[in-house]
Amino acid sequence: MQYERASFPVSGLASASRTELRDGILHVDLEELEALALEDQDIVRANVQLASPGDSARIINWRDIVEPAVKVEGPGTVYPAVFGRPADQVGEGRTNRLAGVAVVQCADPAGLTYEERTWPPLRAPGAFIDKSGPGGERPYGWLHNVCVELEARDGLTGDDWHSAMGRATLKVVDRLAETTLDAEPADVEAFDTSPTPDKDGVVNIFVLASDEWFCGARSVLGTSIYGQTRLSAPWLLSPTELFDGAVYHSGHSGSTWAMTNNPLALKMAREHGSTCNYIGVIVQRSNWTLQIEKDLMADRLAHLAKSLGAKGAVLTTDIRGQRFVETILGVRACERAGIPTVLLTQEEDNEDGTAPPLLMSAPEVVSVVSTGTGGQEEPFPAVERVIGAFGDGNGWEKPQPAIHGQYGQAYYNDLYGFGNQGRIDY
Amino acid sequence: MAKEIEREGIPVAMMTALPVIPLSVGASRVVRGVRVEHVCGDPRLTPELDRRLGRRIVETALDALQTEVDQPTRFVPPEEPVAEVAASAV
Repeated sequence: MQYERASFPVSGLASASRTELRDGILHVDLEELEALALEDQDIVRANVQLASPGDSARIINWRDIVEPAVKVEGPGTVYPAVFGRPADQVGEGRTNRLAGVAVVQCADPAGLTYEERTWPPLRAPGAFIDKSGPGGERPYGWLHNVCVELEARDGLTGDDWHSAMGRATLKVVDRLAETTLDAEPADVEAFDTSPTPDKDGVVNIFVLASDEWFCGARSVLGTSIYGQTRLSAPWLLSPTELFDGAVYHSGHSGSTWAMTNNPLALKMAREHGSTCNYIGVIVQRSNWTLQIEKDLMADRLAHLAKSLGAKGAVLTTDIRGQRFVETILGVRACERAGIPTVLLTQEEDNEDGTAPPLLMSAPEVVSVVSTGTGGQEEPFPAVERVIGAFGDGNGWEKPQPAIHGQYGQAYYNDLYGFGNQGRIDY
Repeated sequence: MAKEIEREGIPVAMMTALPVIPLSVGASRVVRGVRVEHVCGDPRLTPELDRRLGRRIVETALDALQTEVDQPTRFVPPEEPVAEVAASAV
């Protein structure tokens, strides 16, 4: 596929009477965006706040982070097939993106039952975003954030609640992306995904948990591929589909932004044809709850990678616990199929050397790259502004304690090697 | 926890849906359960079959406790006899 990623870098945000992109500053009409969100029949309250790197601000209650983007050539719509958007295949043509900007969806699911809050049912309290100080190191800390605080009407089911939040967020995303339509991109990066068989084939494998076991087969909750949240056999995607938002997070531990800006897929796509033949992205759904299902899916993964001609693979994981079993089984199955496989993962807290850095391993796991523990050993200082709860800081403006070891993964979730956590750890 | 208890000289049998984890970290006796959501039963079964399944798993664990092992060892509960399943379905 031929794909152009047209970037419109943003160096600042400004509240304005008209939403437009001018001289690298994204001017935002806050009331316009709030009105867009309120068009949704299930949204009863909306408030937009701007936060940039260096601000003394802390964002709480965040549910997802999405980059404003729009397709200007080629079929389909960015973030396809979620919340009623068209399901046409994406990844071809040209996509405009507001580089350095992320729309942050903030909503408090307090009105939902435990089961309806999605799985994991509550993002850990440590999952806030600081825009300055030691916490500002995480990937979302150094983005310009258009934060959309949302409240839905009472009485919605979990599915309807998350759908309302998603629809409202994407309206804001779409509107902001429109500002690129009459501007010139600063950079257009072209990707040609045609096979280059003279180079060795490689794949990357994202192990992404499904919430089906917790939320049911037809739920919108959790990470989806083209809107499909179900446990399924492995998916094969072109990396350009990933850049167009084919993998969407709804209330899970990752973010949609981390997929459209995935450093691993971008790097491999840039190497395609020069050092390797980047065959594509395999998404392996995890959270099968029977041992033989986990074994079976690992075998299907290896079979698919082998059939595609992979001579190497980089495999990542998105959550710990029993999902990590599937991660390790995936590495093992690929290695046994003759595909050298690198595991890129966060570490557990090694408890000063008394505990293993990974929940489990296998003799076949011979090549591991760590993205750190997620720990933040310095306390988080007090902030002037708390975003995410309609002005009710509820104590979040106060200093927050340091987060040690594995518990930091709720805070600094660097699943794909964005790069700063290693500096903090070592 | 299983390993630490065992280290104190108390035999341990661990019932789990995912034997691969305790086996890989060196637990002594690992008894295969059903699923992560329901280790010692299966809500799809009739109450009577469910109770018997749970009993077989627990009995397997009790047998395992009385078995000397010198390495991580997997114990698999016996299957329900087919005739009993058919009779229950009627």
